[in-house]
Amino acid sequence: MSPTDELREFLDAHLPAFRAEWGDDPSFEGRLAWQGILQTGRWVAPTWAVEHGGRGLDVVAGLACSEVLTEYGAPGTAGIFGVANVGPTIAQWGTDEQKKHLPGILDGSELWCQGFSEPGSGSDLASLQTRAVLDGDEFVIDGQKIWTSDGTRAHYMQLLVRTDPDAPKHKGISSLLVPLDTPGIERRAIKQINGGTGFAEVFFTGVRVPASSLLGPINEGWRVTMTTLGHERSGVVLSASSMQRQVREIVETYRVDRRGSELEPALRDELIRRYVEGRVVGVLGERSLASIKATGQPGAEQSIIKLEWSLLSQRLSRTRVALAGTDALVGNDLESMDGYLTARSATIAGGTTEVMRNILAQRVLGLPA
Amino acid sequence: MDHDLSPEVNELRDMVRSFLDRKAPESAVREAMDSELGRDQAVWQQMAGQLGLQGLLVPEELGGQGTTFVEVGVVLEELGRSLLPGPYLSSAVLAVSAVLESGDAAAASDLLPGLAEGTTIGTVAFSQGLTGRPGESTVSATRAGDQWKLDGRVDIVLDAQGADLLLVVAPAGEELGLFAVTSAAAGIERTPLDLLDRSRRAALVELEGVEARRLGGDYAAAEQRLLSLAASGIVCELAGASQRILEMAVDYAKLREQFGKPIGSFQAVKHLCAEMFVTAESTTAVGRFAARTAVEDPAELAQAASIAKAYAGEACSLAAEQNIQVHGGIGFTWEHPAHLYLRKIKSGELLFGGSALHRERLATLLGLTVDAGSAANAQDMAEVVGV
Repeated sequence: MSPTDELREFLDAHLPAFRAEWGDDPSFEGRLAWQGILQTGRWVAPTWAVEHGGRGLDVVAGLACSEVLTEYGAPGTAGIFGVANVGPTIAQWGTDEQKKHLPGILDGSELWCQGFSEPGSGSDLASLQTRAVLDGDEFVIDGQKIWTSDGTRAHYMQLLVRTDPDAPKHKGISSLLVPLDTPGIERRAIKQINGGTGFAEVFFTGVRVPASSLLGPINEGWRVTMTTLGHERSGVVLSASSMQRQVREIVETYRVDRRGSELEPALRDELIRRYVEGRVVGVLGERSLASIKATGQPGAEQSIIKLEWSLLSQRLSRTRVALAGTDALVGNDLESMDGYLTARSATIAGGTTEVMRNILAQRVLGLPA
Repeated sequence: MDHDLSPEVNELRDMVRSFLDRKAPESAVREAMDSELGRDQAVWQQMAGQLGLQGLLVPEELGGQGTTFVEVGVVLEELGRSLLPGPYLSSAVLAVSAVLESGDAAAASDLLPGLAEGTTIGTVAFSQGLTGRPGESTVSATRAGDQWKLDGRVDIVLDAQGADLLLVVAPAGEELGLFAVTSAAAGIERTPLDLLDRSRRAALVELEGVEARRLGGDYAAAEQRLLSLAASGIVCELAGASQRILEMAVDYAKLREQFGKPIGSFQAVKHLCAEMFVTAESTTAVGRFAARTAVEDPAELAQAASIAKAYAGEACSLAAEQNIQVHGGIGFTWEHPAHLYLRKIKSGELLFGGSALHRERLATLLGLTVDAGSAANAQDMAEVVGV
């Protein structure tokens, strides 16, 4: 049986019972429960090595499994930052002791976040100032992180700290694995423009962690982190296919035979523009997948998809509001307004549009820095 | 090596590119553009004889290569990149496809060998869809014994002036028909038009009692497919042209210095180049998607072609403008090739339907409009039931 068939069988067996208990749009606790169920079949991260709780599938097979999960409308992974980013980095750089975190990351018993951005270090991440000083066999950490996704609910953090203030900025950074119940750590939720609280500020005051918390070599934290970001590579294929699915769904909603009437021409044209843009991103994703199949790398499309996906997310959210009209304003269509507000972050989080264009111009086109 | 193309198609692309690098430098391109014929006849013959490019879509038993629109797509990309002037799209792509779509085997064996050899230049006079305007063709066909006669005018026929064979789509009674006319036939008047794109020619064609041979039966669905192929082919040309202008802009931004450093070090210029890169890659991806769809999933071709054309038309025109912006004053001169690409791309945007027209077409294909037929039907129903 192919992995996707096996996954379908698993979902057929477990998803209906889960839905009966948690509904179609489960809370975080529900998604966490689902992650635990999914991992009983080793399906949370099937591309991870078997000894770490995965199935050792290649990237293409892994993407096929993700598509099946989406097709079934299965809940998203609750501990996504551990599964998508921290786990793979620990698998690559971690000691045997550190790798003991991996099963917990997969079954959801350990939630992880990443302490990267700081108040003074956003786009220029490598300028980060949070210090860690070795004192005997302990690191002493002082400083502040901000925009930490899942920062209030996580149990652990992969933290970037400056360990050599005299080295060039990329060379003096280390990566530490820090339990967030360590004394001296204070966390505050950040209230966002949509009223939600997905991010946290995290303050470190004289926080002591054992020297064995170091992930990878000392002062090589930047390189270690780039591995983490590298694990997002195949993610662009999923983003692209999800965008393509979204535009297809919204167009379905406004079919004349479903809705009973035509949209006014200007709105219809706007909707078709989004449809075209979404399909173009989808085609870029397919091209990227072809490249991954052939070489294991997503090709130049990778940087384009991230950029176009973020811009299109915003335009699409704007179009959804235009379609909803005043319903979006007075709470009759909360989803479209929340989506609109949330979409402001699409061109900021994970690299601003401006910085991504710089990187594209410099690294892909070879323009001077 | 592009992984969205097979190794064989990659090879074809490399071969065509190296051929055009040798045969179509800018000086040769400009010379051919200014020539009487609008092409370098020797290069045209080599393309057919040595490379077999004009016969890519022609079945092997009729002297062609028997390949698909995917192969033709990469040739069009390379022609768009080099700007080599000539009737490749008109003759080797559209005229050949027009004959094949008719399903008329006798006509195919009469007409396709010459088109494959490049000794016959063919083109298609569409009944609709090239300009997208109502009444763009007034040609109609009437039967005269065994023969047909064509009368009327077509606003724009690409490469008609130098064509030996006109394939005219026109109403024939209740049906739409495809008719073959040889340029020697009496009653054909061709008035050259001053086309913005200097890499191809166009003419207004008037027909008066012109004898024609009908190919196959009703051609209504076939003309729609042909229009989708034309739109897809244009997008492939746009892909090659936009890749080339991206290279021009980036090379220039590295070289040109102002305020003591290369202009490519300024973010504003970087961002223009980055946007052009997105456009070039996206256009390449959707052009190949449309070409692939024509071969693998013909039922979806209309939608794929309209997605590709709706996206690429506007995006590539903007990129061609951005290229001139990056070049500054030099990009505004006749001597610089930037305007040749702007002309090529702007023409490509508007021929066979601009972006707005293709979005309208998508609205219909996706069920977002009440189509005219069912609306009329609903009206009839309303009258019948007395609403």
